[in-house]
Amino acid sequence: MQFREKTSAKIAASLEEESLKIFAKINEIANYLSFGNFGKRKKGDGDDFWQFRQLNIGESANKIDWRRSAKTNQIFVKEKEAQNPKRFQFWIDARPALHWSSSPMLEHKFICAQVLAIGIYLALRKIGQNPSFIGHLGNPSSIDEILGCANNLGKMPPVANKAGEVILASDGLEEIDIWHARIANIKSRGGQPLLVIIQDPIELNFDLSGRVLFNSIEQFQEKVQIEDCQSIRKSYLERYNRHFDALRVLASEMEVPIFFHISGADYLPIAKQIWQVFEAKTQRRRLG
Amino acid sequence: MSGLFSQIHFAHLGALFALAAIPLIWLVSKMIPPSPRTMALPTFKFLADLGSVSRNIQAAPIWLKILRSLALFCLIAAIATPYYSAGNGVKTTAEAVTIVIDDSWANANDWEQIRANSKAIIENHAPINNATTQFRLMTSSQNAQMPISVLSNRDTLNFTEQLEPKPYLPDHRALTNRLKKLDQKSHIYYFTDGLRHDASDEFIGELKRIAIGKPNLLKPNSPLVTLNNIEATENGFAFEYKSFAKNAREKVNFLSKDGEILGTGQGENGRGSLALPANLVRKTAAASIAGQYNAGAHFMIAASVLPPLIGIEGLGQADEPLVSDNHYIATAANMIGNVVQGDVDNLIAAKPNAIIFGDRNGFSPSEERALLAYMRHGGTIIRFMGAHAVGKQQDLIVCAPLSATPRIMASNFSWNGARIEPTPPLSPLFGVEINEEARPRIVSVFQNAQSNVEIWARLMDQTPLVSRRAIGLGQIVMIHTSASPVWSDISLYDSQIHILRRILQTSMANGISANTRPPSGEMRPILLLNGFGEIGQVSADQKPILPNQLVSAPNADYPPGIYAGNGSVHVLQAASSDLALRRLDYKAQDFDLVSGFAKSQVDLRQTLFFIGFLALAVDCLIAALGLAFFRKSSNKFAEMATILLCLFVFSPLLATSTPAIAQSTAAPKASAKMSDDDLVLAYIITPDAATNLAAKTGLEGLSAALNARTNIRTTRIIGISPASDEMALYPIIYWLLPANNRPMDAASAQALNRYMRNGGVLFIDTKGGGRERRIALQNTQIATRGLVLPPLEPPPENHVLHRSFYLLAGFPGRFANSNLWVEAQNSTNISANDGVSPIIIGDGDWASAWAGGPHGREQTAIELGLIFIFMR
Repeated sequence: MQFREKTSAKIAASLEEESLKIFAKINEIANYLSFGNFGKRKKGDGDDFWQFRQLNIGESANKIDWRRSAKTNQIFVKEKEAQNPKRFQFWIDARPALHWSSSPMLEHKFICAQVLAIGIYLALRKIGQNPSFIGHLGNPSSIDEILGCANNLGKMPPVANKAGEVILASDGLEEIDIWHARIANIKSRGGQPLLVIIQDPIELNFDLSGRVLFNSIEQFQEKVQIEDCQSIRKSYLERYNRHFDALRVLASEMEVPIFFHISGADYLPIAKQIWQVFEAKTQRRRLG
Repeated sequence: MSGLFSQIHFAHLGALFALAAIPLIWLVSKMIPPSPRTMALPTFKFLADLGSVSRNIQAAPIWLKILRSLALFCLIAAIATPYYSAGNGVKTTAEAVTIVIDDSWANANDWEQIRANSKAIIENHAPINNATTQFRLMTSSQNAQMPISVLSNRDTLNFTEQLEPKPYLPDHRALTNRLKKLDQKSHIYYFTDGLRHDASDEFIGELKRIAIGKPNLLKPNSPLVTLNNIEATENGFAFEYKSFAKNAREKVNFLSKDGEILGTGQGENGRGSLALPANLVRKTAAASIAGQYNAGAHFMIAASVLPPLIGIEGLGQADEPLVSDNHYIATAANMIGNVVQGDVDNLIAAKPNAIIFGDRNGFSPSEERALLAYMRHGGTIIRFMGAHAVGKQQDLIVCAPLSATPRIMASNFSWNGARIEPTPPLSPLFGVEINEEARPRIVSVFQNAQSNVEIWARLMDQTPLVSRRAIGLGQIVMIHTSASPVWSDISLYDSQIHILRRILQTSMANGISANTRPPSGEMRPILLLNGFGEIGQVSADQKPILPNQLVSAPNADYPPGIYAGNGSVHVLQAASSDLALRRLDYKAQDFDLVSGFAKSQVDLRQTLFFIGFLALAVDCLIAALGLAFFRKSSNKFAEMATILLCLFVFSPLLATSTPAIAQSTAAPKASAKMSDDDLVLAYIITPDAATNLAAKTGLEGLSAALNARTNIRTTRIIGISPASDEMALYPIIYWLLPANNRPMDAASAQALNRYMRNGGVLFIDTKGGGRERRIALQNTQIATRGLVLPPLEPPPENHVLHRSFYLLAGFPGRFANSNLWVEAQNSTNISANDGVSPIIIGDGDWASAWAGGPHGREQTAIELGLIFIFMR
């Protein structure tokens, strides 16, 4: 609550309309997710007080809170809040290729990745988790700080041991080998990767026509002129789908959940799916 | 359709060979197809090797090829200078063409049409840049010895442009003599003024002799009316005019020297009259027939023909009127002009032409000072020197001191006095009709012989009867006997009235009419008319009229105007009273009567340039839009390049279209170049030419004051039409309402409302102070109909008009008690215009005051005008 008041005041005072829209979307995701079952606070072994309850028969006398019990005729037990912090780490791919959209009406892929990642980040903080960004020490709490972190993520540095959940937001266009090495690296250090792939509709459908001179974003000098885009659409889509099929196979083999978000689409369904993965893992851990 | 194309010609036909290059467009379009869209793509790596899939370069679409071909065609065709020649039945020919124009005032009404028709003739016979046709242009005003030059079409066009109607009638005899020297046959176009002049038949015969086929005759469309005579009557004026129309009803405007209409007389069957108050009669300087714009319809009125204002002493009813000088003087003065009575101070204040005193005992010192000042400033004093006046050595108001002893011309036994000697030709009294019996019995005589005194009339024994001495700009005239029969019998006859009238004529501006008395010296022009009846410039080399060469009809050497000098004035009218209007009988002559020419030749260059550049611009725009839509926003250089390209292509388009638009408007006045520091004073053009002239003259006076007293420089005075001219350039616009004001059209009202709303000040001068209240009110209501006006009030004490640099107590214009209304202080819109009232309405006829010069009331009016300018 303190976090929200602090950030809201800053947002209202200083940020521009475009940023406000992004913040609104982030907050929407954060609020939506934190109200789920996964977000509910529970009793546990943490340090913070949770509640008093009457002693059940058969329970150890060590649990009795004598100060509280002395005030009444009943015997109370002091319960503490469950504090089972799980390690969540985020990484947003900041390659130039993500700073792009096919239309001024669409957000850049990097923005989409930010919105999703930070929305989930905030939701995790709300439920008492302690997420972080890979490559940055500490846990930024204000949106400014979070954005500062999220904007400055470069190549993924080595992940610490017991990495926990590692959320990787990218366009997935790097070679499969790179992804294989990246996932293997995280897994080897105890991390559980989760891939969020951002796609643009034009990339996905290649719905272009006429003469177009294409530039490479990574290597601007590289150009290719297509006289009739429709004539090569089929070939392009074959190559494109082949790449992502390979990525899916890799994720499946390495038991890495993978999610696809298309620029311009609603964020909440994909955020909810990711959240559900976290909930399922938590339940499995409890049951286990 | 084929006929249409057959009438399109090209001045530079060779340029059309460039059209052969048009197929290149198809080739170039193939080689240089439209620029592809540029697009960055993250999935670029999936496109590798796909770029070579389509080897067939997509050529430009067919519509683009057509667009480019059209652009090229239009530009090449425009360079070939095409024009459309309607023909009007006139075939382009290499044969010679002779244009003869009666460039007299009788053609001035239709001068613009004559210019347009002559231009059409030239263009029809010789297309643009085709100099093969030989032209001859002859005008009736040209000298008989002037050779007939062969001109090119361009020279003829230039010559035609410079032609102006002359203020005298054609000399067909000179034209005939010139034509006789011409043997080569040619197409003849004769612009007649519709009148039959001396030698017209012979002249037309010569035209037929050299004509190929029948000569073409172009007659004027407007009916000609001439104003031939105006006489002052007891009540105003009587006038005579001539026209070919039967029972012609014409309006004659009587104008002051400033062009203000003092009254309008209605004439019927060649005659009419106008009743006018005496003070306005004396202001009248000219008259002109409404709707006529030629010198013949303009009649100049010399001051000498107007009734003078005569001051006589108001001594009340004499006990014995029949022996009282003042009785006889008043009787004569009332017959001659308008009389003002009073004491000396009152008389001088009334500014009469002359003051006549009967026999009296000198004047008081203050009266003498006032009378001497009056004479020095141009006044005339006429004194009858009888028994009371003789022997007054101290009397300063005399030509020379008089002897105490008068000369008695009749013996005790004879009542007959001395006869008056016939006056010499140089005397102003020459030719005055004097009754044989009108003889003075006793005359006063000078004490000594005087060299600086002119003797205008003598008795048979050489005793002076009328003497005169110049004092400053004025004069004193003494009649050496009594005005009553006490000393003289002259008063018993008309002779005394004739003598006084003639003396009074010398007191009027410019002197005595040369028709009344032969001029004693040369008379130089002080005012000349041009062919349109406008007052033109008097050049220094203009010939004077010599005493023995009094011209009765204007000619090239002596244009119509007022000539004055040596005490004489001669008014040379364009249409004198003895001018006979004789119609040229078109039907009797074997002419081809041509009613006129439509615009025969239309230059198609601008249209083709416009279409060509438009097509190029569309091509660029499409390319630019395509680039802008698909380009990445980071490519700023490409954006700038696109904008510059569009500007480059559009700029000649705009430059081409601008003159086309300008040509379609009637008068591009507001587009004239102005410096930012210069102020242009504007007035609204009304249907009444005299009002326009008055407004213009007034603003010129105000402009002169501005330039003299302030650092504001006014460059021009401009007349504007609210509906068609841009008014935002002028901070204040002056609107002088004519007497016969008409409601303005809706477009003008809207334009004026917009002007006021956007910060302009409209100053409406109703001239109501000089009109009947009801008519003035009605006139103002008509003028302001359609205008959105705020509530008005007279300027309160704290208004800027009262508190400016010139502290004004009132707002006098031509009338001392002029009224002024401005936007009320409590108006809701008062702050909308920086607190300046968008409307000022007054009734003071300030234009007349401003035009009058920096004296007296005019001074205050000019100060008020300056404040109006400063307000903006």
